[in-house]
Amino acid sequence: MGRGNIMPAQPHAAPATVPDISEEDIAAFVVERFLPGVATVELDAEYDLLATAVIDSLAVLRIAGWLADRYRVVVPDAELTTRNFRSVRAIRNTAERAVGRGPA
Amino acid sequence: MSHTFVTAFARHAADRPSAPALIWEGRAVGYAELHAMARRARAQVAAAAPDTSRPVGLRVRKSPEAVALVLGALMAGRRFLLPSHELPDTPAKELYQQAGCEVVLGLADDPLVDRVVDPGAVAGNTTEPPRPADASAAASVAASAPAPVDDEAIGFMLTTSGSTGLPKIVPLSFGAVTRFTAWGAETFGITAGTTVLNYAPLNFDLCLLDVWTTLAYGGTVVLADPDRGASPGYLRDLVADHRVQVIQGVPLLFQLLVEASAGEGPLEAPEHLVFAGDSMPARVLAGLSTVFPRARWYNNYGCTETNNSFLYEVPRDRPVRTPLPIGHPLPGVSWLISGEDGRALTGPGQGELLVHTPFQTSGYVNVPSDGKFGPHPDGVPGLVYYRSGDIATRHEDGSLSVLGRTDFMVKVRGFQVSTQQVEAILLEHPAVLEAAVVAVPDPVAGHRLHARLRLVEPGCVGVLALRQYCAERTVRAAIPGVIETVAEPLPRTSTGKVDRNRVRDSVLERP
Repeated sequence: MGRGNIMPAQPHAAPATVPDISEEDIAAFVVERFLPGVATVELDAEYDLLATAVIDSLAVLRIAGWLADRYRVVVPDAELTTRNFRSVRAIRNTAERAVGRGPA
Repeated sequence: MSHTFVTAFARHAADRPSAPALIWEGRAVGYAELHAMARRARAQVAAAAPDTSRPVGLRVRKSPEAVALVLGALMAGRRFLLPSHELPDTPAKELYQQAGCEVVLGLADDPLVDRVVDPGAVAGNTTEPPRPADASAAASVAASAPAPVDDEAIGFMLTTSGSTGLPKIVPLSFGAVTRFTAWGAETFGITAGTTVLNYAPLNFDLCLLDVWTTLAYGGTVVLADPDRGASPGYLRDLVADHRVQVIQGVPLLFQLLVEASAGEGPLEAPEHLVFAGDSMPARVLAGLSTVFPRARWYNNYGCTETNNSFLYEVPRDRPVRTPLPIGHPLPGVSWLISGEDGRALTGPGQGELLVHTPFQTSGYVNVPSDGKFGPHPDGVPGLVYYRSGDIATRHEDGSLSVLGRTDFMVKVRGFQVSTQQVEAILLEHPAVLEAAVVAVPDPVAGHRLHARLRLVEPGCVGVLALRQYCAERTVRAAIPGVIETVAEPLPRTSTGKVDRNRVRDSVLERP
């Protein structure tokens, strides 16, 4: 947290093929970045990350950066709202909308 | 003008010489015996510090001899500085200098002590009075009446707990302390034969009630050894063995007593429990009913500068909200809440609490008092108010509660947040045993909050559940950025409060 928030997302090795967007993968990133000491399996896909102050608007930019790295998904500016990143599931839906294959 | 709490003590020594004044390490010290020690101490003070215009420094640990030394200084009508004996040498030395102390007296050798005195020893080659037998006690007491003093003359010089920097020296007049003891005795029924536990170290303002009021009204003080202040069994035994009726202390004391009572019978003797010093967690309150079936509970609000100013009797039989309300002003207390515009609030709202009490100090000795003491444009004319530094909320129903110290108010992403309030929320969670919430500087958010918690059992609640719990009870800015759980007890100050400074330092030290 804190100063770390404004750093760019850690670059992951570019995958040869873009993996499917998975909730487990997103949860692992959120936990690693924002919830020190928490195990990935503890984080329910519907857990409200916004209400519990795990994420804020800076965190949204970070997660969006990671989505671009990891899945080559670019979330449009208009979609970069905290509401769209409210939970692991919301993040997955936002990412899938961005690639045009998820729920509208 | 000289009818003070000191003369009241002397009268008990004459009237009931063998009544127990103190209990220390299982032994009773009678009123006449304590008075005899105080007389010797008085003579020792006079011999060591002949310049009565200057205060005397005392450096003592709690013991009957230390109580006698304080009484001796009081009987001599002297001003004396009584800082914590745990204060390191450098700041302690500076404090004695700032107070203008002529000499520092102690009961044991110590680099800062100029003169070691022993009120307990009967010297064979001096004119000091011998330990009196009961029969001659009254005559000995009568022959050594306390020095007459003005109401405004200073006796005690206590120190603030000083979370940062050098403590402030708070002088209290004989009149202020005498008025305070009268209030305390009446409110908690302290009279001849009443047994009162003293948990706080001797330099603490809480002693004005549990030690000095008790001795002025003929009761018995059960002195708890601060070195064993964290031992639940020791504390419970003190209360049980001596049938203590009045218990005053920080929440930790009550937590330890509840802990020690698991599997034991209830404590029937206590009649009054007085919560002081820190806000009482709901979880500790919940444990009190079965342990103390007969006691009334009070939330006591005050500080060294004003002493007690509000009192709230906590209902035993219905749920209470925490932080506990501070209740009603004591007789003679004036108060107001200063809003953001500096005017007194007339309705519900939040602001700094200002109080005037009959027990308050006239101002600090070693630092300017201007900012903290003064008249208020909307207050009672002619009264000096003390700016408490506490943020108080006046609720719709007119009741008051204190949110926390202004010192604990920090800005997180533009929101005013009280770290104490966040602690209180976390402590309400049944799985949380101890909590420290500290603010650390953050380049983006201004501050970020770091919570360190000790759980009832390791792993019994997850960080996610705790975040959820906070989210249901407070604004987002007040939810700690990091919630850390630890297995070991949190560090405590010498007075039993969670040592937030040490927690913050350890957080800041991390890479």
